[in-house]
Formats: sequence, structure tokens, C-alpha cells
Amino acid sequence: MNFRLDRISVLVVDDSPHMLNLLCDILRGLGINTIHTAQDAVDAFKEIKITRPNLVICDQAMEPICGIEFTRLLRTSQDSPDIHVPIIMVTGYCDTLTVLQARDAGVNEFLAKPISAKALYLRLLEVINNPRDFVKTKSYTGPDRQRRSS
Amino acid sequence: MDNAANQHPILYDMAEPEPVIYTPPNKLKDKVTLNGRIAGDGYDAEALARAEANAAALTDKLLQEAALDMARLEDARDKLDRHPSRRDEQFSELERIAHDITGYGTTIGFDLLTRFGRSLSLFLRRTEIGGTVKLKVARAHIDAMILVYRTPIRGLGGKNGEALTAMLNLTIDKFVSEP
Repeated sequence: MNFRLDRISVLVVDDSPHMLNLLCDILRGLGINTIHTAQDAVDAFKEIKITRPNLVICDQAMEPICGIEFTRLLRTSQDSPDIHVPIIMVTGYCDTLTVLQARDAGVNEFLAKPISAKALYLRLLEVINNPRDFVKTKSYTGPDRQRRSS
Repeated sequence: MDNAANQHPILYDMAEPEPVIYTPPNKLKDKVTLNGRIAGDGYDAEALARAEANAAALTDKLLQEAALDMARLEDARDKLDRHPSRRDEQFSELERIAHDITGYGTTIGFDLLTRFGRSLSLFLRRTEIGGTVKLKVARAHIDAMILVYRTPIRGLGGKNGEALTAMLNLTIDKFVSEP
């Protein structure tokens, strides 16, 4: 069945206003009405505390705290407002190292630039349809890094 | 702090404190209601079409931004020549502009801007490369990106695009291999 996405809330974190606009417009088109934005990791943390989004979409190459470090903080910090919130990371850098770092920080899904509405939609559906168990070890907190088909 | 790890079944040996695997509350799915129109995995072609239309509507704005970013690139290139003592700061600014262009290049039909913007961003992040080489390579990227925009070379540019990409790669290799 088709999902209605109008009740979910999303936080979009990107230091590029153009990308922020693009991501928000795509999300609105998909029927998501509650969209919060932040342009850096510090503001994003505050937004999550206040708005409690159901999903975070964040850019990887942000300053001064990059998206990977932001994810790690969100997953492991004692001050984290929601260690379980699903995170879709957007990046222009698709090298293996970056992908592994993002995965090991606790990212749920990875989305390569250039962004298309379809690619974002498919990641969103993946997070909804195939939520992963959470793993906690001394060195990692986040979604199970071994994908399982549902 | 959410302590759901303590509230869900632990699947591993309790004597060993790690790893702990548990199923967190699915707040996302809880809020997704069903239209009941089509059987499947939630894929809604109408919603996707709206989203794609929204993305397309941003194209004009991004084209205007591209014009501004090309001017910023030229300005950055001039500053690299004029103020060598502030090169690191200028490289950071250049990386930021290239990062922005990478994000929207393909969206406005300039795939080569995305390709060259990404290449420039990645190159400027390489800490083992010296400032002089970075300067030369940055100039080559900026020249290529301005050429793509002004010609204009749309999409991947066919044979011209391939030739330009090959030329840029050769230039990078040459500068990097210089003693």
C-alpha cells in the first residue's frame, strides 16, 4: 500500500542553502509537511531536542562538525536527544573510506549527490520498510551494519 | 537519554556486556498511515512525480546561483594569485564553492560541473599535496568549470566533455608528479 507521509517530521541538516532548499522541496513533494532545518551540527542537535524529528537527513561535508561526527555524537553522546533516530547521509564523496566511516558512525542510509527525488524517496522507503536492529558495543552504537533482506 | 537498550531483549550472552542487539521503537513507521490504493512497498508514483516536479522548479534558481558561483570561482582564482599568504583560507573557500557546485551541477544539466567540482573538492582535501601543486590544479579546475558553463557544455558533453575531462586529468597528473 502507499504510505502517507504527512504525519512524519524530518530534520534536514546541510550547510548549503541550495541543497537545503532542494531537499526540503523534494520532501514536500513526497507529502511530508513537517520539515525542520539546520545549517550545522550544533543547531541540528538543538533542533532534535526541541522538535524530536522521526528522521534526520544530513550532509556529510559540513563545518565545523562534519556529518559523520554529528552522527557519532547523536548515537553515542550522553546528551543525545535520540540515539535511535534514523539518519540518511547525503554526500558528494562516495569513496570507500567515506562510506565506511559513515556506516561506522551509525548512518542508516547513504545518498550520493547529485540528489534525485527518486533516490531520496527510495532511501526513505528503505528506512520505513526495513528498519534495522540496533547494536551497542564498546566501539559502536547504531543500526546493525549487516543488512538483512526483510 | 533513550535507554531502550535496557528495555529490549538482549540476544547475546548476558554475562558478556557486549554486543547488545535490540529492536528500537519504530517511530517512523508508527506515523506512516496507509492510503490503501496500491499493494506494494509504499512506492507512490504520484508522490514521486510531485517531488520530481518540485526539484525541477528549483532549476531556474540554481541556474542563477551557478552564474554567481562562476563569478566566485573567478574571484577565488584571482585571490590565489594576489594573496599567496592567505592561500589556505582561499583553498577552504574554494572547496566550499566547489562543494556547492557539486551538489547542484547535475540538477541544472551541467554534469561536468558536478564532476569537476567533486574532483576539485577531493583534491583540496588531500593533505599530502603541497600548496603550489594545489594552486596549479585548482586553477586548472576553475578554468575547466568556467569553460563548461560559458560554452555551455551540457550533460557530460559527449566527445568534447570526454576530451576536457581527459585533459584535466592529464594536467592533474602532470602537476602532481612534478618534483
